[in-house]
Amino acid sequence: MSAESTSRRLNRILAMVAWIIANPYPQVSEVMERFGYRERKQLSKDLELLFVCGLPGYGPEDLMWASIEDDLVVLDTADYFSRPLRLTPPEALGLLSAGMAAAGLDPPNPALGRAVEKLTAALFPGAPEALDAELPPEPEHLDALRRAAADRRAVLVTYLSGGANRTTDRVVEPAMVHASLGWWYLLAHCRLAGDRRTFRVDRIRSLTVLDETFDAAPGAGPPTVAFTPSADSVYAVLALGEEARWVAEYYPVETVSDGGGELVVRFAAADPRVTARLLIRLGDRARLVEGEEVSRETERLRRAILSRYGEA
Amino acid sequence: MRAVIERLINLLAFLIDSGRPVTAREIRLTVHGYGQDSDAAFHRMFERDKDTLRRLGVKLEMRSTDVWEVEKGYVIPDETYRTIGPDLTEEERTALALAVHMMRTGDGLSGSDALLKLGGARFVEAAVPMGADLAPGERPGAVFEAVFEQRRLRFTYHGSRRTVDPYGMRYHRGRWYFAGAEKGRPAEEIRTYRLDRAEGLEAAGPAGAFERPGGFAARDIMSSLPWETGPELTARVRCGPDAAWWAESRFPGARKAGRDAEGWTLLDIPYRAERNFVNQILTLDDAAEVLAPPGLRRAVISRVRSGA
Repeated sequence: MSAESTSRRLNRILAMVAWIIANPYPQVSEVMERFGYRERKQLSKDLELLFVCGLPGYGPEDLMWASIEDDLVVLDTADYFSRPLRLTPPEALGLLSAGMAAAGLDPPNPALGRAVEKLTAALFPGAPEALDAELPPEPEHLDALRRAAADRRAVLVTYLSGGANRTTDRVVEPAMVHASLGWWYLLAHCRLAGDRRTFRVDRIRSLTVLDETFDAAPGAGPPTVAFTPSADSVYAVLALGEEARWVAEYYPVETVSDGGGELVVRFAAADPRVTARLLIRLGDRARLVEGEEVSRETERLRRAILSRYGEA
Repeated sequence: MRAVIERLINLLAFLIDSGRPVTAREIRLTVHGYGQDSDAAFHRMFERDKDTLRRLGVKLEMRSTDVWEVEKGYVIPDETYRTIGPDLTEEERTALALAVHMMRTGDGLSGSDALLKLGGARFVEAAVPMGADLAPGERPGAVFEAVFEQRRLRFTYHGSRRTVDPYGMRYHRGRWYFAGAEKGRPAEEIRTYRLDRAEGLEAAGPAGAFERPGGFAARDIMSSLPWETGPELTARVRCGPDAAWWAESRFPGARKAGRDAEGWTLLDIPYRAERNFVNQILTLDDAAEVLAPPGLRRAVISRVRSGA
């Protein structure tokens, strides 16, 4: 049992009690929906718990009465819990920033816009300009992909893959679109790869929604966009100069050593071309210490670019 | 968990119902659930309980139990209770619930718990094919508290300790930023900080310590990036057949300027900072070639050579 799950459960109980005092004898189904109880049993357990709480003395008149009768929630308590608790700063930020970010999406939801306005005015009277949250601009195909995911329609996409700067055609089964780290991503089952893949939506050149539908894969949660090193990753050791230290913050690296103006890290990528492109971009601000495959790929890319410029 | 929650509910009921400062000793002897044998065991348990309540937004305060101020007891201050939310309509609550459901906000107590305090919403959780990471966890919460209460913030940034009056914060391009004036600098000299790079954040001093300057707006934070200042120049770039459309969409203001003999697309792309533009054009590998201006072309070549 963590302190967090305890305070979450207590928060839900206190919020529910305050609401029921203001709205007596509600339907069980409404209480469950409103306070996010997935099972009736969970609600019964919380009501049983209230039943043994109350004021010192703890006799029948001192304890709360809480039960379910004829599908109504019956709560009889003195009104010491009638006032709901105020929002903590992380809660207010979580609610308001989620509302602001979603309010910027197309098409706009007027009810959400009004809710954000009311919350902002209440939290920042006289200074409504103190907080702002926005998602990355929506790329051209975002809405079509979102609809295809909702309708479970397969989609043919022409995609510019990051590793090679070549477009390929593939049929994907979209699960969801997701914004992270400043970009929109598509999470989908890729029939070309035969596996789940994450695509940058802005790199989709064109798409055709097919007539074909698919069964949703179970447990399709939001994607983890940051690359996670695995057994198949290609490793390299990079020495980063002062102006290349940001690499260690942006990518999941393992620090090997830090000193003498150089940060030495172990860098993992799914494709050696990713590391090669980074090294070319960093120029003399970084050097490759170790990594055969990355070294070959970097030299290949360097020659390719220089020959494009007639410099090979 | 059940015993802890029962004890906390009993404690809250007792404190609220008493309406007067209650000493720790009285709590220990009266409130059901605190029957500890040793003083040390009671105090450990009570401290943990106060922490749990603080996470919930209930900060117990110490007040004197009588006018002679001999003894101090605990009260729940009035500011503990909600002042916002009851004017939200059912439709607005449901819209907020959907927004909270879509945004991933880290593991800390967050939007969904907030919504319960406002009375919940008629909303059935369902798979929504759209989402986003907002990651408010602990640190953005701490900055928000300082912005909200107009409290000074102290933190380490790029290795040096700063004291800043935080005027506002913004989630932009996938990151949280905050902006304000450093202590000892003019109030209008506003600097921007990336929140995940601010280490050892702590509130420094009382609430209401500063005034926000009149024209300040959080949506201006990071609206012009450091590399987006300076005179606008134009690069002529040729792009390969697979990459031209992407270059056109990813470089704002790019214009098609025809095709060359090989069938590559010519693009005119506005830019300001040479170094940043070289970074951007190199994401296209050998599928792009800068033709002009000559200085920019040389910069690409020398960058590519420099790492060899």
